[in-house]
Amino acid sequence: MANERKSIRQVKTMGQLVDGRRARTSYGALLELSMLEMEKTRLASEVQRSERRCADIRVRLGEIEAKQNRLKQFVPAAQAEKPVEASDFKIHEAPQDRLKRRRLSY
Amino acid sequence: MMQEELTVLSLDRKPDFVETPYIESVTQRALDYLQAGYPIHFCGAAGTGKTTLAMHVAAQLGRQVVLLHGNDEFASSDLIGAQSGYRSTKVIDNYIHSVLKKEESVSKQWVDNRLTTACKYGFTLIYDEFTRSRPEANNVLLSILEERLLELPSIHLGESYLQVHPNFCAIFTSNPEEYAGVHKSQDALLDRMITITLDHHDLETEVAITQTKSGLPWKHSKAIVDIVREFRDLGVNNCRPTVRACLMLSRIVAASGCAVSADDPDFKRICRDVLGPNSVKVSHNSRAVAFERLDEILAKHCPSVPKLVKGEAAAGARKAAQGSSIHGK
Repeated sequence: MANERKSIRQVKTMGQLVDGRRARTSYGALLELSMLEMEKTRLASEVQRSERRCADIRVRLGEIEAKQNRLKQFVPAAQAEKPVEASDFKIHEAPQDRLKRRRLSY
Repeated sequence: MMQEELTVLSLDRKPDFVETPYIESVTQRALDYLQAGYPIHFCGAAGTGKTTLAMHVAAQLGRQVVLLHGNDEFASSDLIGAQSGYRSTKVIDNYIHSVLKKEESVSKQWVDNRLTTACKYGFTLIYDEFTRSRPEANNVLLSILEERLLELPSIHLGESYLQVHPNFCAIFTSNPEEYAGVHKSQDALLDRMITITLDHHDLETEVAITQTKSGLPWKHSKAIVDIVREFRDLGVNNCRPTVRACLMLSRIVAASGCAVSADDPDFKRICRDVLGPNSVKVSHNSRAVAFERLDEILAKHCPSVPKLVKGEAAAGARKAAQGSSIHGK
């Protein structure tokens, strides 16, 4: 199974210590409120989209399961994987007819 | 699969092979290790007799030998085998005159190389100067030496795994002092073999080799070996000149009939040519002094002796050199 994918939440930054955008004036606060509202809207739509996708996936998984069960009925039991017996490696004998011997003196 | 011929070597000991207690002891140790199931590795500088010892040990085992020489251009396929081409078969059936039937099939053709052959049939492998091959080419040896299993590539049409024959033995040689054209070997491979480090032969062995292979009298052989050994000790790493220089000197002296004497200008010239200033690289005040020291060494080891009779010496040298190669190659 693949590793869990990490998101921006897992990236540690110094942002929590000092927020450079914090509002000190009323128009600054309004600006930030506007930004937060836009982010909220975007995230809400993302949640809706992912919920729809999850629902689709669950439907498809159900379909796959049903189809697998139907197809397994057509597979004969004999074709199920059988344990294979391991045999020893073959020890080869030198083929005397193909052996060309050369004499080397040292 | 192609039914190619397998060429193997039968090693024979030359009549002038010298076996002193030193060589006997190294051989016996190597045989003990091999019989216990471990590959051996002769490691030493040039001229220490690694290859000859490897052949001698292999000959004692009494089995067919496969010889490999390390090469930088080797890949694993040069050791285990490769697809060497295709086999094409064409059948033309014209049994019925009016019907012509043609069938053509092409199949891949795999050819085992020497390492696979040795592993399959239990031959003795001598892998000479194996560090001249790149380490990645030798990786295939790891499973052969440990698990006794040769893994063949998937293009091989037979089994992918080959059980190494129980009689398979491996003898390796390498030169750690060499700085040109060699690679480091992986620890994993060295860890699987028993390394016997060889130094230059002892005095007794070098004199015996020189005497046997040149036909010179013992006294002259000893003088030549003394000169070479003392000249070798002048150098920094004491690798050269080796016993090969003893053989060159003694054979040339025997063939030319000059005297082994510091008074003989021919002998001095031969010594200078054979030993050469580059073999020890000794300098003083940026000036090579090897030849000055050589003259001193010659005077020390070669007192004046009467000249050899040319005909006898040359005959002895010819007899010794006939069909023989340098011991310690």
